[in-house]
Amino acid sequence: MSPSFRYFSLLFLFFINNAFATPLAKVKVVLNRPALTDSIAIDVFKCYLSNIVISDSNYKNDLSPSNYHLLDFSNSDTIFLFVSPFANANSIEFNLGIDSIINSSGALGGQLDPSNGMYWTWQSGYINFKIEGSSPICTSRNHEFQFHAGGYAYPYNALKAFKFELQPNKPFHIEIDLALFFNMISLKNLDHVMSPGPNALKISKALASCFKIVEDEK
Amino acid sequence: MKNKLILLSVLLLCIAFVSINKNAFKYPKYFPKPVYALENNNRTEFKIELGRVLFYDPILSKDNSISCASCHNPYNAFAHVDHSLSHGINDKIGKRNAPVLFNLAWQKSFMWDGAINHLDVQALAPITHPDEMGETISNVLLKLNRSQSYKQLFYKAYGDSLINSERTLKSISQFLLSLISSNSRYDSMVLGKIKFNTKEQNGYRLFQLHCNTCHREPLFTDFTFQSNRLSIDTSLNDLGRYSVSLLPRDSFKFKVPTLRNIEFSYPYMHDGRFKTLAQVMNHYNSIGLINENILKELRKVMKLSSNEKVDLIAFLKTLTDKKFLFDAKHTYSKNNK
Repeated sequence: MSPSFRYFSLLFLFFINNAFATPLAKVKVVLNRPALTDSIAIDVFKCYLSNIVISDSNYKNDLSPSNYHLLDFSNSDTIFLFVSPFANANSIEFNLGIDSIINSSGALGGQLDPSNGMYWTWQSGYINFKIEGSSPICTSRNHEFQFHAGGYAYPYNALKAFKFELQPNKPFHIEIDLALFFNMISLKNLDHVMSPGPNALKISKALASCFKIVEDEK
Repeated sequence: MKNKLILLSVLLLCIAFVSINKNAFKYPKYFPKPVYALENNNRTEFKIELGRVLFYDPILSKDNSISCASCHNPYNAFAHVDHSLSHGINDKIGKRNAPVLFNLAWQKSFMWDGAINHLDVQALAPITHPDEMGETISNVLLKLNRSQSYKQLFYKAYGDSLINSERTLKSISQFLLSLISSNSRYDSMVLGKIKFNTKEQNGYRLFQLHCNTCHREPLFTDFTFQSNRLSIDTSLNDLGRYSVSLLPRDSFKFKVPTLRNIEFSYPYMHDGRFKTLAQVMNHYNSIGLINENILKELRKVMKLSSNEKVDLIAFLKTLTDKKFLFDAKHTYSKNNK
């Protein structure tokens, strides 16, 4: 039987408004490399992007104080991030996940509200990302996989920091190719992660490998 | 005119001062500085009252049957008298003994294993645990939003009737922070108001010799995680601090509990295995075997005589704070309907 592949492609944008309100940056999630031997269906992909800092040679534009964005790729309302006009950007920095200071700050609201379902109630801390779905390769019940990554305390701090160089005035998007995630872990041997620890580090590293900057073609 | 203005500003300052003082977080001067960041959660009487109503309200549980107070009884220093393990909805039984609740502004982490890192988020654990309240925070908010009386209480506490999890949790924190126990016989002794009798004094000497390393004055805990050589209950197989830190050296370590109000907070230990202080004394008197995983202070046998055990217990009873235990401000509110 030839391997089937369920195509998963979602395109989401976050805008960096310049004078003409043209989108300069967007986040695109793809799973488009049939490198896997079996099909994968994804039901949930949520992640926190935080501390976004866009800079040119002499100016930093961070989005504080509420620089915490919960992207839920099933709800397009949550993935539009507006930042102030900034045309000559030459780098973008951001974190995948929530830093240790916020993790130890008690009850917070908005994007960080524990009722968003991205908070571990039994062991304090935010869930940096969730990837859930199913694949026949999983030996688990209903062939489901469920990855919840988090953890802020040494040595299991699962936060991933990114810094990408940008070409000034060139539109770009951030691409998250989830196929790389599934290439890095073996669904046959690992189908769930639900707590901080070595496995949370492993899947965080795997998701971090999926992020890249792609220049838009005009 | 100028004089009137000055008079008016002095008056306003006085009013401001009085109102700040009314909402000040008060504690004895021999207590250390609190670790709770009070500047992020301003204390007001209305917030404390809202937190108190929530604490006694079973609305926080899935079937509206269990409140915080179900396992944290005010007359037992907010511990669960006679129950070794905590109870939940549908007669479910938890894994650990419900701890006392007071002097929480000084506590760095919560739960016997320190899994919770901030007082504000502590309540989320029992609310969502399937063996405790079995509820979701979103559903709690839904239920609170349907209640007119809660809308009024939130309005009083926050200036509008918006009900969200941040406000709900911070109000519960405010009630918990208001639970301060510092009026025991021990406190009177520290302040020089009374003198211990001979037995208490001897017990105090023994306490300082054998117990003060971990159960450090004046809060009677150093908030560390330690093993005190309890045998492993194989029906629970509770790994303690290890389940949070994943460090092998933390296996079977539990948070050092405060000894204040210990006379009323039985049963004792993380699994409530000891019913009496005499049993606790006998346990500590019998350990002392060489074990790398426990404090060096616990590696030598205490060898207390029967009289010394009685004296040590007499001292421990000086930590009872009846004013706190029977304070009407901490009990069921008239706003609980």
